[in-house]
Amino acid sequence: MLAAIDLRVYRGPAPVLHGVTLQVDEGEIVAVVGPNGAGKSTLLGALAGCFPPAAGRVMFAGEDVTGTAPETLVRRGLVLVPERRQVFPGLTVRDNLLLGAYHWYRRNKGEAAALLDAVLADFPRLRERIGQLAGSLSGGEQQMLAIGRGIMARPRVLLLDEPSLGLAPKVVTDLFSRFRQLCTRYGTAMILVEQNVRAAFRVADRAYVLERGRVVREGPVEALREDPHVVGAYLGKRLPAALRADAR
Amino acid sequence: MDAGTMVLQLMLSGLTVGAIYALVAVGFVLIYNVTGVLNFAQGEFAAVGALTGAWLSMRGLPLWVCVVLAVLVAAAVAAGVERAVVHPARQSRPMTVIMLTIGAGMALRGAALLVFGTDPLAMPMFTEGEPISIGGATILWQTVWALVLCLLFFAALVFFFEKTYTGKAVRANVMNRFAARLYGIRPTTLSFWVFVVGGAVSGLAGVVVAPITGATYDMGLMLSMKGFVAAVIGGLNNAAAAVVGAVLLGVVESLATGLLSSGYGDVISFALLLAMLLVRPSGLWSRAEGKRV
Repeated sequence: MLAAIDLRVYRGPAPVLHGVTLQVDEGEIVAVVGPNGAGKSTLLGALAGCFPPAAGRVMFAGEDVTGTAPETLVRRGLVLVPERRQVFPGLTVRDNLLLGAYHWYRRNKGEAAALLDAVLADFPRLRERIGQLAGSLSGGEQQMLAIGRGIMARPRVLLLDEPSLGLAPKVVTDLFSRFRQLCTRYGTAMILVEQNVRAAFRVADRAYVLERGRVVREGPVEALREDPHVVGAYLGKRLPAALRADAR
Repeated sequence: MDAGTMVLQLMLSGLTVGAIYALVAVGFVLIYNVTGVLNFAQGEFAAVGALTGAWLSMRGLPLWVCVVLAVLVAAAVAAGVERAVVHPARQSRPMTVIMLTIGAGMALRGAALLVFGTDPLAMPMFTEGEPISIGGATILWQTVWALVLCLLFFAALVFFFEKTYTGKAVRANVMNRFAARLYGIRPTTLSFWVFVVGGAVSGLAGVVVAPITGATYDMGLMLSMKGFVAAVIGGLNNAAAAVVGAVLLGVVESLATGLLSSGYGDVISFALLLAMLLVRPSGLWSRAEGKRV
């Protein structure tokens, strides 16, 4: 469905991704984990068209979409839910959700209303807050809104950038437990970039471990759970060095 | 005329000037917030409107046709500036784009000089009739026109931004350009249309003021500057505050001109600009929160 082939990306003068290859198939949930600064957000941004790669290709639905702008990719169903949620703070919850459908809303308002209703059924908290300004929501509610806005764009692949960021552990568990259902219901695949490895592994089919701009491990989640490197660096009981260095 | 009447008279003429500045300032604020470009060619769009309207009326066309055509021509010129100058430079640094808009303004002034010459063009008032008398001071019918058109335009603007889907998409773009792009809101399309609207409103300002001041090829520069001062007083990111800033500026200028000396009007308004930039660079009514349109 979506694949990166030997992707190399610079941010300014600094190389961030040194040849990353990854793919997600239809309906699949793929996690990309790794420490802060590994290039996870850059990878998602590059897939969504925000950072043109210096080399390598991005394939989406059988087409080469390397270098295509994000506002074009969203029309084809490649939708990024950005880091730190980035909802539109001065607009209501309803307007935020409807603007998610910007690229097709005017052609089919009836369908947009139906999809809005479905999303609100999935996130009842958003229905309660429908008329409030998005900036007044809690972090967890804003994350639901950001994901709901992403679903309104009718994704075939939904890219989530650190949805657990700044949320309480209980909220994370609750939110992540819905991802599988959302993917099935709306027919989308998902790439989940996370520092919260345990939470990501609970929901994903496969995972990639990204360190310093390279994929160092990949495979089904069950296999990675047994991998000594992954256990040592990300799943160990002790707070591992890799995470201690960038503890927030 | 006693002192009180004189002050009232000066304030009323300040209101007229303020309404004109307000239209230019709002165009300025709209373009700045949607595109991030400080468009110093803004006043030239007003000059284009004034010159076109006056030139057409001298050819004997009905007045309303002149006004409509003047607004359309100003919008078209603004659209041309966006495509020819701003759009190709959209990846450049802000300072570069500011320089380009100043250059575009000079080019428009030069073109206006070639087409219309140096003599001011006259335009008839929108409605004939005796000036209205208020407490000994008089107010021109043209002033009423300026205020009414100004109000109508702002009402339309508020409706657009608060009630329509497209208006909300523009506001979303102002709040977070990156996230707006992710959902398919094309910044280049918005940039084009906001120049069209900004050009139209400036053109309207020009054609409304033309019967009072006449239309000259070089009237745009001062209007750009005054619109900018008004926008800065309002904090550059709030159209309503820019309107208040414009009226304030118009009244202060008019009082300075009338009570001190006719040379002091511009001095005072630019001193105000310096003071604002030094003391309250985020506007008289700045708050800690995010932007509004």
